[in-house]
Amino acid sequence: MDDDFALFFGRTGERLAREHAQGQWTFCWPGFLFPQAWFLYRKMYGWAALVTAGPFVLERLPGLGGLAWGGSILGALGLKLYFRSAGRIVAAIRADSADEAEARERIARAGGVSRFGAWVGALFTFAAVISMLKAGAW
Amino acid sequence: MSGLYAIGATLLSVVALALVILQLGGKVRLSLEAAAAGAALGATISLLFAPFDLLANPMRFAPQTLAFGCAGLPEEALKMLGFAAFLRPHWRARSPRDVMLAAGALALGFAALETLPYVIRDGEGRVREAVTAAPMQVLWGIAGGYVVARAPANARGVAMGVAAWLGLAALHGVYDFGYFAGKPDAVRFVAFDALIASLGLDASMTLRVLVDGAAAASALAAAAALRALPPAPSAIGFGGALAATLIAGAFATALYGAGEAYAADAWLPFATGLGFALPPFALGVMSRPEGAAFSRRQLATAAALAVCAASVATGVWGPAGWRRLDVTRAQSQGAQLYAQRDFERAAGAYGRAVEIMPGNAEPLAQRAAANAAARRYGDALADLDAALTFDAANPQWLAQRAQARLETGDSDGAALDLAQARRLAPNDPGIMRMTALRDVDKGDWDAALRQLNARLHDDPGDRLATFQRGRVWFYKGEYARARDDFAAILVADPALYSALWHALAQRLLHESAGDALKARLDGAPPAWPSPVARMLLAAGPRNDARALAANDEERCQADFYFALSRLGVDPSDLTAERLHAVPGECPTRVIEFEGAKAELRRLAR
Repeated sequence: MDDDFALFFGRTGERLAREHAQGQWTFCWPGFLFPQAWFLYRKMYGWAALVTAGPFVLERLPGLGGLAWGGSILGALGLKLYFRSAGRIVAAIRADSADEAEARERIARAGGVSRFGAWVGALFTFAAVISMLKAGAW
Repeated sequence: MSGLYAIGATLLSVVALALVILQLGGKVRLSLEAAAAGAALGATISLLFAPFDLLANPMRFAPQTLAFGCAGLPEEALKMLGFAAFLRPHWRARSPRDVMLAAGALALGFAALETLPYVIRDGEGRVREAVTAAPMQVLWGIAGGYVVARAPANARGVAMGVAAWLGLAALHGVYDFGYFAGKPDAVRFVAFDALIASLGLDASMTLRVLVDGAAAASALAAAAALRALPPAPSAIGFGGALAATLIAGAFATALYGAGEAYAADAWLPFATGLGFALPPFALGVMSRPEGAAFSRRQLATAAALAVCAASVATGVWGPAGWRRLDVTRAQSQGAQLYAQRDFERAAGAYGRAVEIMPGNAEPLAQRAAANAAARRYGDALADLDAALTFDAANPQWLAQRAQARLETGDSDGAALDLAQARRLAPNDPGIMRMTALRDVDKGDWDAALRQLNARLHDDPGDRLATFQRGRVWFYKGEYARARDDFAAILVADPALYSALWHALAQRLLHESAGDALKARLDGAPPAWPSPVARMLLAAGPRNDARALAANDEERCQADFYFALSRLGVDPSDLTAERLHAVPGECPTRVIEFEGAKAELRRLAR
């Protein structure tokens, strides 16, 4: 199972697998600072949608704009969410694969990182900064 | 129709399309993840364009720029990249068909996030967009997803992806162009209007055909994609797939008329930057190092440089730059309202520009012009005083203040301002004409003539100066010269007044008067000063126009033209009496006031 996680986590697999095995909560700095980019980088599309679309919509609803910063809190919990998601996906793939080779191939595909996702997240952050500048927030 | 209705329509459209995707064999979990990724992409692109308020289009971009530069190309590029990066390698996607249907779901999430913000903001005005945006996006998504799913991982695959991107962007662009170009204030490119005119087509019908044609082509492209890939076990075959696709297309067009006023948006520099930055991303994501002309690293570097350039530009512009953009927007609105002679609202628009950037004197002077046109000379003077504190040597503003001071009776102050303006810009056409007017006010017609001759020596085509000189000749009693000046501008001057004065001069020269006036009157609207012109042509003994005058200015004009026209045929004391009454009832700013005074002075000699 640990091998599966190491495979899932990709390039930094061993370090993340160690942290996962320790079972302790780790504050996720990249997720806290750039939640959109981090969740997309880690292929966690549901959470990415929440922290990307959520603030975008909340800013447009009267009285709820302050909640837009909630994305950073979710980002800080990113590693915990990532480990939980990894566990579910690995279990689902194991249950649904015909043989070991297929399971390993699918785990590798499900995990790893998306550089394009990181770029999209960066673009979102860039646009958010521009919007704040325009709104005179800074 | 409430805003809630618009939001409900959007959600209904999204849910209906989600059901279509599932009916076609889309996997629930994969579709949900794809829709989530699409929502992230949709929010990103919406946020990127948000500062430019594209739907209101304050920058007045042309519809083709909006449709292709700000919608078709960037949106389709981002989605195609999303298909390639998120869906093609997704572990739940076991077949190309899975990827294709997931692409439809991604496009649906994208559409929802792209549409919802302006539906939330504008509510009832956006129902049509609310219900038509998502179906079209899904159709383009399915067609693009097919290409991404089937493209080989080599240079040929990249070429296929780019071709598909351009094709979908063209469909998207044509579809949007039909909407944007149909707006009442849209400025279409000349070749398009020339083409539809040469074909004898109606513009609105042509645009409707473009929209429906693009929708139909999109539906067929999606249907062909669904047909080309083997159906999933739960799918419903070609007939069902085609029907479902056409339902989606029909969803877009059936509710076509449900929306209300359609507004447009755009941002050219950003769209251009994005257009240049995204293709390298696409190539980088979709290519393999061994098969591509450029490595991923090279392409990613190029894209990173583009993003850096955009960041630097943002830093340079900064918040002040954004404020300047808002000021320009308000000024442009003010100019538009001023041109429509809505001076009150024009002053309001310029006032917003003043509030946004108080250190900018130009909108102050513009607001002063609007206030003066609305005859609020006190406000105009206050604005000009403020503007001149920023630039005390601006000849135009000084001349503007001189005019406002004249209107408030401060002729000494006006003379000072005008003298200073003349020193600063002795050859400025407006200032030269205004100086001549001042000379006329003072009764110094020779000085006025010198000024106007100098002006016309510089520019013989200056219609205003020619008209003024004609009037000065008239005041001096040199009707033949006056007639010649008025005749010189008759053809080019759309206003009726040059023809009126021309006819008066002819009448006083005992010439056959009024041919030019008659010709001009044929095409003129019945509003003022047409009644005066008709009275002049009738040459009767009654002042019929006076009964139709709505204010002092028009009553003054009716009496003046009547008295002058009678002077040509009935040089009796009664005519002189009529003329005597004119200066007493005329506002001093109207040219007939000066005309009556001059004529009385001449009669007294």
